[in-house]
Amino acid sequence: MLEQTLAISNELLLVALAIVVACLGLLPGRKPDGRLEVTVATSGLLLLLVFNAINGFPAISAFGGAYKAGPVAQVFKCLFLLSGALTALLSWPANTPRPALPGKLIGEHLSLLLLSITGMCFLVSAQELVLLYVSLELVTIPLILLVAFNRHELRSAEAGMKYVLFSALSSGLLLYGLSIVYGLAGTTDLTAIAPHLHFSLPAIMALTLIMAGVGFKISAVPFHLWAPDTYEGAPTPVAAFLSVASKAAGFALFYKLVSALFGHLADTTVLLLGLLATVTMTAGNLMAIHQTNMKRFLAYSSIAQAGYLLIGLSNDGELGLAAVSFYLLVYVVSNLAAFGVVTFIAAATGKEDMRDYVGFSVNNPALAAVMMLAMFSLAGIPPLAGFLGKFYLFAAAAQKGYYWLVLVGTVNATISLYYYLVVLKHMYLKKPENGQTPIGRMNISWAGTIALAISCAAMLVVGILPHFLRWTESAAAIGW
Amino acid sequence: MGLLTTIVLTPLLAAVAILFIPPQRTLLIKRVALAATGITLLLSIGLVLDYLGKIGLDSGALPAGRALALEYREQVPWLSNLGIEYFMAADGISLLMVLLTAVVIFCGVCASWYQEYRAKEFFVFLLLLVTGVFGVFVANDLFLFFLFYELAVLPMYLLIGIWGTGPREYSAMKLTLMLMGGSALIVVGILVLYFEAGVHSFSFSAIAQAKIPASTQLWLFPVMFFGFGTLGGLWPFHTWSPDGHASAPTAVSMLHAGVLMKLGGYGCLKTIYLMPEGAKVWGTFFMVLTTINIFYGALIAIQKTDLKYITAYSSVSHCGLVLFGLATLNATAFQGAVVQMYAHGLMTALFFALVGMIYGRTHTRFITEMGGLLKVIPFLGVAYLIGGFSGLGLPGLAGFIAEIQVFVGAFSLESWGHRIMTILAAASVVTSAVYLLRALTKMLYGPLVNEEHSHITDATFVERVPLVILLFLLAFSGMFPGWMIRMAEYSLAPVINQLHSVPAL
Repeated sequence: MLEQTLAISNELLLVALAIVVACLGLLPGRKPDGRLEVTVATSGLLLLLVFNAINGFPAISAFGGAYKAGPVAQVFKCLFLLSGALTALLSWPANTPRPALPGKLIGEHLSLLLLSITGMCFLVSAQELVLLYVSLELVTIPLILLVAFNRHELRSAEAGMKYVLFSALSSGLLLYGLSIVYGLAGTTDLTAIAPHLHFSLPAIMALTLIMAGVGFKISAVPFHLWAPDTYEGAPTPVAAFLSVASKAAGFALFYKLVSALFGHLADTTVLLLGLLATVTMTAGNLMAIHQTNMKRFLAYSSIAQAGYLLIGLSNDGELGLAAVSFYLLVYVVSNLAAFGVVTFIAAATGKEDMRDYVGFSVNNPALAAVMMLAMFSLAGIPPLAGFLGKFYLFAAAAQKGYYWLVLVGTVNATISLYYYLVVLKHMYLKKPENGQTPIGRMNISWAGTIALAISCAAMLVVGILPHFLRWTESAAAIGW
Repeated sequence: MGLLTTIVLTPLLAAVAILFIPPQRTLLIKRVALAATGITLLLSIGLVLDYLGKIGLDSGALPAGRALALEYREQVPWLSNLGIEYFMAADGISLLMVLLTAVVIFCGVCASWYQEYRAKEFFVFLLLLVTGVFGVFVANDLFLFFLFYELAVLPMYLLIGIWGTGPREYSAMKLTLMLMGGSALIVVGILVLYFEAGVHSFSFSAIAQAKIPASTQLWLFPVMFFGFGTLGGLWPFHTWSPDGHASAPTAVSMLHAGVLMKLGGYGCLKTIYLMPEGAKVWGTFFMVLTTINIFYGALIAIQKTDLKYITAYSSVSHCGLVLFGLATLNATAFQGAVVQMYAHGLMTALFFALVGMIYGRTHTRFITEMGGLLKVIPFLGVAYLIGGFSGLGLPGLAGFIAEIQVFVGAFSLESWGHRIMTILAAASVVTSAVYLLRALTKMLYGPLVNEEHSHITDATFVERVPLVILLFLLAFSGMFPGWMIRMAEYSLAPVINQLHSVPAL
């Protein structure tokens, strides 16, 4: 029993941390302003992250094989913990006119966040359909609450409503697909299912339903419709978290359900995947071009990014797994940096439209530089990490001979560069026109500074130093 | 740390150092930039001399037992299981290009000496840009090569967009997107080459020796040639160049037209090296395109009255000559193409520096609004004259050496189709004379058109430095071309061998 408990110590500690953070507000004689909560949650998450990162690669199996903490699962857990820690730092109570979150509710916000991360950690370790589904619900339900956190604000409430409807629908589709799989295989054990799935109508139906269900989670086109509205309405740190951690969890789910179960039906899977990737990248990119609201813009950009990641999935071997997990790492830090800057500007001035960013680089050179790095990294320009990440994703597809998919990817990367540059155009190139005053000098809290510093350092070193890529490669070589 | 790494890293370190200097201390910033580029200039001169010492000045192919002309190797495993290496090495062509880059950036920093608007950021981006350019020429691993190639994109957009003139936002975006479009093709090319070669290495020589299947070369060659050709100003993908160069600030125009466009030619040469069979199939097709390049660029230049546009279109024409020489797949024309890269780099840098300096005085770039300037600014005027003569291929200047070799090499091809194209291309020398001499006459001679111009002053000392350096090198290389030709000949041997090793069509 003790052994089983120790096996899930990571998740148990997260739950404990969630409870502690929720209870901090009850401490007598303390005004719950959120500072202590953020400090405790962040340090807890960072400690767990360090613990996971230096722990070597475990091979723990528990609960009759339903739970397995392997190397790739550990890489994903590190991603979730990192996104959680950075999001927690971005939630630092802003002493500004328009804080993203009301200070006295930050404790609740963080404990919900921690519960969602717990669900993600269970998800990547699940080796069995029921546990997988339950942990997916544990991921989603706190997220719904988080999206609608500022419930008195119309936009936030609307976003919550949209998110809840789409999540319910996608869960339904996924569950339908899973039940067909169970019907075909007669077992819920993920490792034992694949041999029972042959090329047949029910199997293809299950594959399509599962892809659709997971497609919602990773916001692949045409299942992306919830993303822009939800990102726009949700509190900015929550939108940031949704765009990275939730997407990473979606890709883990994709691997567990599509690649692991249907990998041997390569022709069908890759055809569907390629189509999904092409449509997702192209549509995401084309729609991002016209956005001026930064949160909607980043939503469409993250849709396109999901498309690039789908390219990596076309390779079901080691290289594909390494490329996807490495790119997720890159994407987490780059996107969180971009969202971080958007959060601070919105909190200080209430401005979320990129046309209000004109002349931003003059008064806030450091923040503008962070945004520049993030945009270039997302666009895949060296020496930033996004370059190596994209190259690696394309290499994964090329290894299997899908050169057309590589070409679609590189052409899309060029299109995406256009709109990433538009952001920089507003910040750096344009001069304020008459009557327009550029945003004045802003002060960033120390927590925000740490979050941005971590992201920037990561963007700069991850693509140059070999250690990070080796880490994902050696994890992928062993497997989940 | 090897010499090549030092050359690449010096500008980068200087850029980082400048980040820590307060923005109002512009003089210190410029001095740091000048010092860094000065160091790279001295190092690259040293390397060229050392390389010449190693290979000797006597003509002759590679010594027995040597497949490559590479020296100064630095090779360490770098990233991932794919076998990506940090592999720096240089042959004669790389060193010639490194020397060109070092000269142009040094002169560019001098020419930007009066840059006061956001000077700190300007020099940071300029030095970052040049880091990428140096890197491309000495990288021997395809991934590393491509990384440096793309590194140039990042600062370029901002340099043109922030410090440019005219429709700078449009030009910067157009240039960046078109070049990235070319890169999109190059990435595909690199990955296909890597996986088709199956040698678990990204190094040029390993992939070249692995012999890519002919069927793959057949479709991949044009993909990569167009990819690099876009940067090399290949018609019809040259349209970024006139707008981009006209809008860019002086130093950036110098560096971009002078050196970056050569990255395209350099990449095309590597493409031929990697896929000789594809090159043989597609050579004639690209000769047609580049003939159009040469002629079309020159004809448009005749139409233009804006000095920067004239220079930009003449660049399209002259860079077309580089690609033309490469497309002939002839050893002599190859040498001409390499020398043309170098000669045109010096010449264009000189032109753009002069246009910038003249514009700073007359506040116009239209030759119709100038006249008789030789009387008031004799130094700049004479410099312009000499540059112009090199542009139209006057013997004694570097441009001549390049053009004659390209044309002789191309004309030695057997078929009449090739010869007609060569004659057409050679006829462009006449068109070049038209636009260059017309611009010179209109600008420099005759009565002073604008009275306000009678008070302008000639070049200052800081401005004369780059002009003198560039003029000296143009004349020196034109009169003593042996060393360049020797370096090109020696280093082209692997490419020629590669072409000989595959059957003709």
